[in-house]
Amino acid sequence: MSGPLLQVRNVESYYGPIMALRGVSLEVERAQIVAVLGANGAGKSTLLRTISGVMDPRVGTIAFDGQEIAGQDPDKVVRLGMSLVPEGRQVFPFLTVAENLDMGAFGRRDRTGVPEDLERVYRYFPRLAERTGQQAGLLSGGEQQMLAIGRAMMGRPKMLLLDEPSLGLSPLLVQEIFAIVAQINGDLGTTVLLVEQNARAALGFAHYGYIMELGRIALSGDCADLRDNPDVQEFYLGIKEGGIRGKRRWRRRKTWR
Amino acid sequence: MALTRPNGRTSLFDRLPATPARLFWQRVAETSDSVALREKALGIWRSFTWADYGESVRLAAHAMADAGVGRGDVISVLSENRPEWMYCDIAAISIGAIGNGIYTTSAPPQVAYVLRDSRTRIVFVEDEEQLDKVLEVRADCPDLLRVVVIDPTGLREFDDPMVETFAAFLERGAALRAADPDFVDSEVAKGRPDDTAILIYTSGTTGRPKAAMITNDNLIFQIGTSPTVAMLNPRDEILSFLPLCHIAERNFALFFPIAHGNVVNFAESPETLFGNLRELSPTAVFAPPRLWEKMYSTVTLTVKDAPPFQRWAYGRALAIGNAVAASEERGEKPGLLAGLFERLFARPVLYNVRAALGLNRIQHALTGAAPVAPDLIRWFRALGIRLREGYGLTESVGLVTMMPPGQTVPGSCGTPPDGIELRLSERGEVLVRGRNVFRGYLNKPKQTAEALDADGWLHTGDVGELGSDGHLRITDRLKDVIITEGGKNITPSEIENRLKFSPFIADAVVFGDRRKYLTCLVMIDYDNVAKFAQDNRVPFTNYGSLCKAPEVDKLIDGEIRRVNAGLSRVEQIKNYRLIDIELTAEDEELTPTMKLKRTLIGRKYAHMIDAMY
Repeated sequence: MSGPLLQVRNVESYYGPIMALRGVSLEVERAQIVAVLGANGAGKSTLLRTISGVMDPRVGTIAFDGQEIAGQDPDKVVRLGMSLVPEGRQVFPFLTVAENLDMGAFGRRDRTGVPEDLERVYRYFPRLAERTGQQAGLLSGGEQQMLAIGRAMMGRPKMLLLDEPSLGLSPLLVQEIFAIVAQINGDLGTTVLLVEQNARAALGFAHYGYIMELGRIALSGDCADLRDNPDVQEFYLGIKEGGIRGKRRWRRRKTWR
Repeated sequence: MALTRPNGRTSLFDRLPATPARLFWQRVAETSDSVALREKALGIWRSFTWADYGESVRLAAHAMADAGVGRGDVISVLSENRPEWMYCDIAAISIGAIGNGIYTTSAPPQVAYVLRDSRTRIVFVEDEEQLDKVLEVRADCPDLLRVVVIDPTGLREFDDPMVETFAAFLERGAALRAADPDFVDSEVAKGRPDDTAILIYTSGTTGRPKAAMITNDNLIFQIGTSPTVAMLNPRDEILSFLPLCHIAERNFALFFPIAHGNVVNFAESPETLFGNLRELSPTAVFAPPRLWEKMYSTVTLTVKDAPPFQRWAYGRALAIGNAVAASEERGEKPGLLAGLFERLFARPVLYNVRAALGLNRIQHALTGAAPVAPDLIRWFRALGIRLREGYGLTESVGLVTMMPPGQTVPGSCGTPPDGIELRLSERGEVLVRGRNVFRGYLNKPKQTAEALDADGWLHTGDVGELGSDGHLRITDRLKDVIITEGGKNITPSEIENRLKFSPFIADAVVFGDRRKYLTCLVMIDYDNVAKFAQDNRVPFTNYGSLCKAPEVDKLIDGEIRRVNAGLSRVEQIKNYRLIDIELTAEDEELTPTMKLKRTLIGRKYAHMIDAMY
């Protein structure tokens, strides 16, 4: 099948009366890593929740691999090949690492491929292989993040949705995890859509980026172009001149051009 | 000249002193305990009485004089509207100095130009951001003695001998007052009617901005007309949100309230304007057409999404309102039944619309500064609000004409008050004479001579018609009139107005001078077009991609066709382009009142315009 793997058009999502997504359209090409950046409350997580079926959009369409998935139950979406790695990891704390990974294969019909995939997860995340029998709740934050990604991979997804994988991790660990995700993308061709606040890390490894503000896309482009955009530099990368006093505190108004 | 009101009471003119500064101090003495200003700080409205106002002005005046501001020197304020803005302006005129405002959206070179041209001695800056602009250019401003920061947040570690905080400035003023308590009063007494009181920089669509010198007497005359022209009375509550650097807001929110003792409320920011309107529901609003257009388009689009019954009720009520307005326009009294329907059905239904806009208490809805689409005035009339259009300019120190109360004549800017003479030149240019005419441009004798002739007539540069009923109709700016290749004279603003009435078009500029046909550049209304795109499933990411969507192109094409249908063949728009970047007040393409600047747009987008021919 040709065309983008994921096509989101005019999606509006609400929390009760509050409109969280005010018409979002975006596309993710096959085998691409796409980053969605934005501040707190911009609607990034809502976007992932809406795509993965946890929330239903009130307006708009979501096509995954040519199939309409807006309003579908999340388990159906997972079966179609889209796995969400939720914000804050959400591993099963009292299950072991191996049991957690097994949960990721829960929806699989081809049980024969499971051991092979398990081995692959352990290959990408050797730290998990060292701790197969350990309760997930006793892992470090970085290991839990690895476990959550590994668990999602057990569903053999065409596409991984990552919700703030860098949250609460040391810069070194963020580098490590992003490197592994990039490797998975390169080796297996798994498409990745990730939502991040850590713009520097995300723009460093994604191919294409969207900037979200107040429930809308404010800017999109190749990550290399986004890195050069003056608004992205000032508001997302923290690069700014000190101004005449060398201590400029005020911010320019964003124009997103 | 004394104006007498119909009821025989003497007018405000008889009670007015010779200068606005004296008027201010009379006001402070008379109603010291009444609220004068209200400002929202951290979500809570704080009130300042006339006594508070007077105290701050007095201290500022002492400190100003002490810092080296003499009679005839200029002080400038680079800040959004806030009480301190007013303190500085009144303090300046109290000691015979000249008050000036600088738009906060100005870039540093523009700030430098104004500071140098006006030879500003003290500049009052709102905050860190505005301070940086001045610091960047102060080396080029030899006359500048001092910079005073109103809000010093973030500047704790900053130390500069030239810069002090507004609080410290007032503190010095307090010490000085103790030494010479009568200083301000004696300075106020020295003020003469023909002293320059304030400077107003005109936006300067061509070339550098020019500073109009406005005298005490100019202001006193305009204040005197405010009860009959703007119909202000002491109970009116005002929301101040347009830049005080503009003559309309300076009059309406700063000088007029001094005469009447009105409460002036400051909007928190341009973004919260509609929220503040709803919260305060002011009785008097002066705003440029753009704001009223925005209200219209918001309501029109919201109603589209309303449940069927509400949609029906709105449609019916508006139709009744329209019918009443139309019969009134023909000069007839509405029929008994129509009148009854309006009172019993339309008004209650439309009350909620007025309340949602924050206009449920409005007594004086005024507009000017740019032409208004007649349909907009009709819509507000149907809503039960008489939007009165006026005509005025910086050089006439505000209003020259205003629609008389109780009348709605779409397309007319109304009539002049007593004391303002109006006539048309052979070319149809509107000429104005009276106590409201400014004294000239600062440092620009040549431009002054062009604007003011030997007989005291102000050449406005606007083409208009004077009806037998005394009503003034403005056609266009003299220099904007388009002469097509075929030799037809076309007034672009009339066409632009019709275009702007579309909820999807925020502004448009029509071109075609010495060309075969007319074309235009369109700036879309982002919110409304985004809503259209959402409703019609047109995918877009941001402003730029929205402008490129073929469906949006079709939408605007349809709007232009609709406007074309009401125009003669030569006036029709044959081609158009969208301006695909979202312009903000900081961009040079827009005036501070968010109008597109024709000359600049014509130059900057020449390639787009040429591509249409």
